[in-house]
Amino acid sequence: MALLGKFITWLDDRLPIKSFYKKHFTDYYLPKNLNIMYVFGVLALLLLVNQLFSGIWLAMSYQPSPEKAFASIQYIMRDVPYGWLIRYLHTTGASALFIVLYLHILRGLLYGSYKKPRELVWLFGMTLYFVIMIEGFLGYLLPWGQMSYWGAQVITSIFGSIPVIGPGLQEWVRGDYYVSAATLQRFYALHVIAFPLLLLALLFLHLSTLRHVGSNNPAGIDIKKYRDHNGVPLDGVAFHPYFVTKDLVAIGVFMLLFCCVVFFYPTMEGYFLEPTNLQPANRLQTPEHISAVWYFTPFYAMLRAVTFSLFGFEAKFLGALVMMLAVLMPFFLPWLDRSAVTSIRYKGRLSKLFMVLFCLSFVVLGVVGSLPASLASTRLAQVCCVFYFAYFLLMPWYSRYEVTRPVPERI
Amino acid sequence: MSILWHRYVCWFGLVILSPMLFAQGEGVTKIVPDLQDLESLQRGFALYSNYCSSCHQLEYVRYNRIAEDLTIPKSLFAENLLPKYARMGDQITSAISKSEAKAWFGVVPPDLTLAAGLHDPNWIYRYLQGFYQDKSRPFGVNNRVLPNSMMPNVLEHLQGERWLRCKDKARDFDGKHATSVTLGDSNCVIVDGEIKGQLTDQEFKKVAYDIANFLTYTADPSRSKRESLGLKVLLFIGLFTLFAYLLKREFWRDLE
Repeated sequence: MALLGKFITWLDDRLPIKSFYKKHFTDYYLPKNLNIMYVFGVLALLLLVNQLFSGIWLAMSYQPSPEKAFASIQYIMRDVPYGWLIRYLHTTGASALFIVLYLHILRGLLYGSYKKPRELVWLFGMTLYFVIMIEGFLGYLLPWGQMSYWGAQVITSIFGSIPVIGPGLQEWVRGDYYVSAATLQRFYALHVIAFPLLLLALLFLHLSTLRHVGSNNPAGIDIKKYRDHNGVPLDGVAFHPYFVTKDLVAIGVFMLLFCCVVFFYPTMEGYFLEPTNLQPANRLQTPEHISAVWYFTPFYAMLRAVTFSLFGFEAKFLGALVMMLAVLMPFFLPWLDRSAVTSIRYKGRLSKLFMVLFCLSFVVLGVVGSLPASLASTRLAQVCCVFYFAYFLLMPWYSRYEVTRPVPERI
Repeated sequence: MSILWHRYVCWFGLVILSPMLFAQGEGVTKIVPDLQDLESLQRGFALYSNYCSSCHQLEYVRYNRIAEDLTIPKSLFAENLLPKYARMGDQITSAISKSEAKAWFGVVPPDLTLAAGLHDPNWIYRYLQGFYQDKSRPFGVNNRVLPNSMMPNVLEHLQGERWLRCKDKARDFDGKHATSVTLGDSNCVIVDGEIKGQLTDQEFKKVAYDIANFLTYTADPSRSKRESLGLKVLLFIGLFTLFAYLLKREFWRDLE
């Protein structure tokens, strides 16, 4: 024991581990009223680690070429010891990561976590989400199944719809005139090297900025205002051991659910792993119904919702523009929200109404995006698009002029 | 807090179960594949070897893996089930080449490894029973589940001849327009024809079931192992969560 103590002192003289531990664990205070919505950050972190490790092991046996990619996935599933486990952890992890992220972002919207002084936490977080979306899209091509191939074909063709530079850009992204070996290989390189690195950098920034300004809470009350004589916030609770043990319980419960899916419902009835993707990619045969993976369906529905040309722009380009704006909108929230209060708990009726409409429209868009397009579903998607954007674009007015409830001084 | 947890667990359970509840809705007989039923899987593999393997490959499956999973002794397997051109560690290829198959059937018969995942076991079960006589087709038969299928009814001598009877006489069994019949069409039924097969209806259903069951296994060979490991993992995480909860409660008691 003494030896260990000596070693730690030796280490600490050269690397400030003790002060780091103090600053970020024992002396880091969180509001005592954090509820269940606050566990999804740590769960997202856990899933990213899961993706990283299962991904490394997948890359050991995967072969990024059109001739071998599909067969190498089956090789992993059948001939690699526990290959099925590694792959199901990765595929289930991808879907679970999006479930967790959507709830994590919803938490931010509900309790105003994007407001001053957490603007940068929010911006880094949203960028992280955007990068994870691209990472998911890139990874989806790798199994080289029918749906992988045609999904990539459809999404990369969006670049081609941009006026003037479109066709050239599309070719540049694909590296060929259509999705081919060149596309598969560059997607692989981006999926396993470029975007994971970018992701880690953004994760570091997201966490650093968060630790610097501290967590928000469901009441949106700043706990740093009232401190005791040691400077400890009166409504604060130390991260370690209190929130560490609380997070451990959350991780346990989450892992139970996660492993239920991994071991018993890995395809989740076609939602996490689509049956059409059990056919190798075939460039000469378009599937009847090209659908996006479930976590992209809300945005896919927006892409398809624009069925008309406007100002000389073709519908496909406008749809892509709407989709892109839908992803970008949340970035501006810190400056769109003019409310005097932070949390939805003290906001007025209008804020609550738009919040509900926003959530509903997002879910409905998700459902619509997974169904084959019909006239009714397109109309529904258009209405939902309007509510989706109204939440953001009308926020400067409804958040400013509505009657809010008084916020208590302490939690 | 704990009530909240329960609620979330229940919700998640509902989300998982709801697609299964919907799946029960279809009117046609549903089979439940049983990967623990090794005898059925062995029969299924024997049937595959006898009737399917000349044209359909199981490209991603290896002979020795089947021998191992279906508990067939290797020597017995090598003697009776292994084609002369193959070795135990080989992947299962069809007897005819792709170009020959293309010339004979107009299409390359699909690989069956993942057929049960791509369609579903029920689809295969119904497909195998869905053949009926149709003189307008190159092999004299058509299929109700996959209209204009290019596959001959290789199991005909087991099942016997089957005729399509429709309310509309023009579309009867020997009619030239029978190809428009699909699974949902209630105006037509398939009935036994003149030539009887070697098996009774019940026995033939079992044949179709065994093949569907075997292909369910080839589509997802790790399932049995996965589920038995899954139970142990859940038990472990359950215990971990329990202790984590007790630990959390102990620490948070200080705060009150």
